[in-house]
Amino acid sequence: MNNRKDRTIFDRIKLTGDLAKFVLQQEGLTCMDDWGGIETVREILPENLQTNFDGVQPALIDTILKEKNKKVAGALLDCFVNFVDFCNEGLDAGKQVVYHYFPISIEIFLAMDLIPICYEISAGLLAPLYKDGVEPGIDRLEAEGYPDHLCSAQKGTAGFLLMGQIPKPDVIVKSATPCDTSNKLYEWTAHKFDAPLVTIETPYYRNDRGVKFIVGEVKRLVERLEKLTGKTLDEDKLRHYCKIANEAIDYILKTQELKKLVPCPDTGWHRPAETIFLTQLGTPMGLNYFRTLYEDVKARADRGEGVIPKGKKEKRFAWGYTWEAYDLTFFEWLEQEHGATYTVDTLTYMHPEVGFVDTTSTESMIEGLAWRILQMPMGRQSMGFSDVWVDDFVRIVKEFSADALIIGGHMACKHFWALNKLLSDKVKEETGVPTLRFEMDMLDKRFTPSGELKRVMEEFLTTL
Amino acid sequence: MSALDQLLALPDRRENPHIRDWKGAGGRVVGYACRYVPEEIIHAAGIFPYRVEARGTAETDLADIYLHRFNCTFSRCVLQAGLSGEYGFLDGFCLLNGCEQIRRLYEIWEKYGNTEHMYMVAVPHSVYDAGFEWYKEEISNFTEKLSKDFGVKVSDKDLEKSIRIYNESRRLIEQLYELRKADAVPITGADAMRTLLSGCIMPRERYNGLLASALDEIRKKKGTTDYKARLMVGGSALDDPQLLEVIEGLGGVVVTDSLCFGSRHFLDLVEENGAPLDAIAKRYYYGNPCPRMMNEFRNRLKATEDLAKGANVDGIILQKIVFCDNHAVESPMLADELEAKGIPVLVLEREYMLSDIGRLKTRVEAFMERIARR
Repeated sequence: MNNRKDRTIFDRIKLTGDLAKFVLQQEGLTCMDDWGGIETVREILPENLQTNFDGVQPALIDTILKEKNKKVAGALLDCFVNFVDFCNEGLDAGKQVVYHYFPISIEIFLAMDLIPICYEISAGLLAPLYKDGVEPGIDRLEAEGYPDHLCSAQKGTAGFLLMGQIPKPDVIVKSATPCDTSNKLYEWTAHKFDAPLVTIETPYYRNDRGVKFIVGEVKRLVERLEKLTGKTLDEDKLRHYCKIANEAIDYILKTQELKKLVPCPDTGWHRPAETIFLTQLGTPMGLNYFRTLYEDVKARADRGEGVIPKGKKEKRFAWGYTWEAYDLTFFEWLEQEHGATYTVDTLTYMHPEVGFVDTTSTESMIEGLAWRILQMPMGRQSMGFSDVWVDDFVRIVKEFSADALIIGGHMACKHFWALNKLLSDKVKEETGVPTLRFEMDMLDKRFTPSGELKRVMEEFLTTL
Repeated sequence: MSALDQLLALPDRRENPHIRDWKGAGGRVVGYACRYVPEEIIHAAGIFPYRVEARGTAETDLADIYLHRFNCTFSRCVLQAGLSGEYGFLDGFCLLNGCEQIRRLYEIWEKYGNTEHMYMVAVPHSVYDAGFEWYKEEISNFTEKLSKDFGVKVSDKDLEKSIRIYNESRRLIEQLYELRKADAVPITGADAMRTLLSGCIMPRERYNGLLASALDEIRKKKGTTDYKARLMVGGSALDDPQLLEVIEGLGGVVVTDSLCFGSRHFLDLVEENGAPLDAIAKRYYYGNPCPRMMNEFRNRLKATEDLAKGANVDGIILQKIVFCDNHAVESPMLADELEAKGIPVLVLEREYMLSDIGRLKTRVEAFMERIARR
């Protein structure tokens, strides 16, 4: 039975949202030094926000206070807070919690009146926001005898579950792609917390047979969930959430097109949030975020503006795998110090063939959602043979006019590391663009600390 | 040389006389990487199914150009062997999505290896009806492609014959496992493993003949009770008896296993009635599941417990290769449950190449102190 009082992390994020709102509302505040520094800011804060403030990464606060980042920062934090409110309301109302994998979109869960919580979201939110980040969760799981080479996105959440800081799942839903580490840790979670695990197999081949198969898998998902939860899929509700998601995807695709412009009109610091909010497709808060982002990027594009200081020569990066989320100011640093802009990455790139879900009937919506699973960032690239990932990035480098392919390889991703050279070689062969490959953990700052990230990047930048 | 000695010889792939003779007679060889690839299909096509292994590989300099230190040393050693030309005798190679690292060998081997025909069998990650239908279609497609590439026809009769041959092996191997249950253990775990591994690298008909004779030899042995502890070994891919020699050199005797080069590969029969492809698919898909199969932990736990109790083991060693994700999670999960049931477990992390034997010995010695009978 779900312990509905496990809300420590939710409470913390909510307070951070309140903190961010307070700070962003202050007139003329462009960095904490405007008020005399961190200590002075702390004194000015309402008392109930001070402890939360102590835990937040200070450089992140300065980043969101920059004029060019404020609008998106506000939408981002609103989305976080609204997500927490949504979860809390559902928990208070006794709704069942479904933990799901991030490349599965959630309209079906919403239409069945369940609370969808992306398994990886705790880790994904804590890493960028807080000094202690996701590390306490990781360490807690590793203390149980699980090794460091498993993925921090799952380890963190698994640890927080053990620590009783997030609600326990009533049901768990996992797509089989992309990796063993996530599959196994979901299985561990199901076993440890006695929650049923529903799997969606993802086809290895992108052909008619594969598509037919995954449609069957989504139908099976619905049947299993109905049996396990006692809830029924409501067609009208499904339509409602699919329409919201369609609108969000429209904004995502439009924003993506704008990033092809030179200079790139979008900043890089918020990219991890985009992956996180892809797990909110179908929700009003997710839609609000992607709409706000689009408006922000469009306004800059209409003015012909970029995001790097005037006078700097733009160096356009395509990120061939993942961002890091433990130091979002790193991307700000790349822009300000080096004129290096962030176009797209594997975890946020939405291939245009994703299309929109046909909301005519339950059948058409299930088909559309199944098709979407095949296209979701990360799922698409890793589901089968490596040519999908490689060919996507050859095209991305060309279409986004990238000067370099940056591949920060997440240390836990064995399937990625097994194709890293294939990717790098093909991109170089087809586009002439150089690649930087380096090791990091996308969430755990201890593996490749920020200082080391900068050193690696600076060395590479001298070669461009 | 006795039959048992011939099985224990376990020739190196670089100078395997069975392969030499087979190829010399115009035979073709298709390698396969995992126990979910049905050997019977390859055999029924008149082709020698060779389970790809990496025994004796000490360096991974070529493999490391394409793979990375975060990829397990087993996958890197297999690739190294391929890139070094040691698998030049393969006419085909069937890979599958057994794990993230093995599956990616397909693209690298296809591009940089020199094997003419490459195959992929995609196995679902859980056990259910629609997954079975997918898997059956996969192996049907594999059969078709194999037939086309090698210009052969694989009939139901061919499959039925191959099933009988491979089932014969399974029955004989089951007898071997039964013999190892005796208090006076007639064969070491290392030698038992050699006996099993030989089946993967010589024509199966020949293997069956040798194994039947070898079992007679083993039955005649007095066996030994001079051991500190009876052990079961499980965990990551283990295709080299050397680790078992290290364990048994410290006074233990390995009497059973849950390895994919051991019991999980060889036990469980294919039904000999009914449609043969269907029967093959059922045995391979529904058999004792690999840790890659989600939602099967309780089945694996039960299977492990049954094997351990059946062989009257004193403890279980779960060895996991560094960066093997499946066993990295499975082993501690099993250990927790088994310890709670009173079965001692040692979870032992290692590299594929046994370069840190000193450390391993210390861990095993300490475990044996804990569980020793004498």
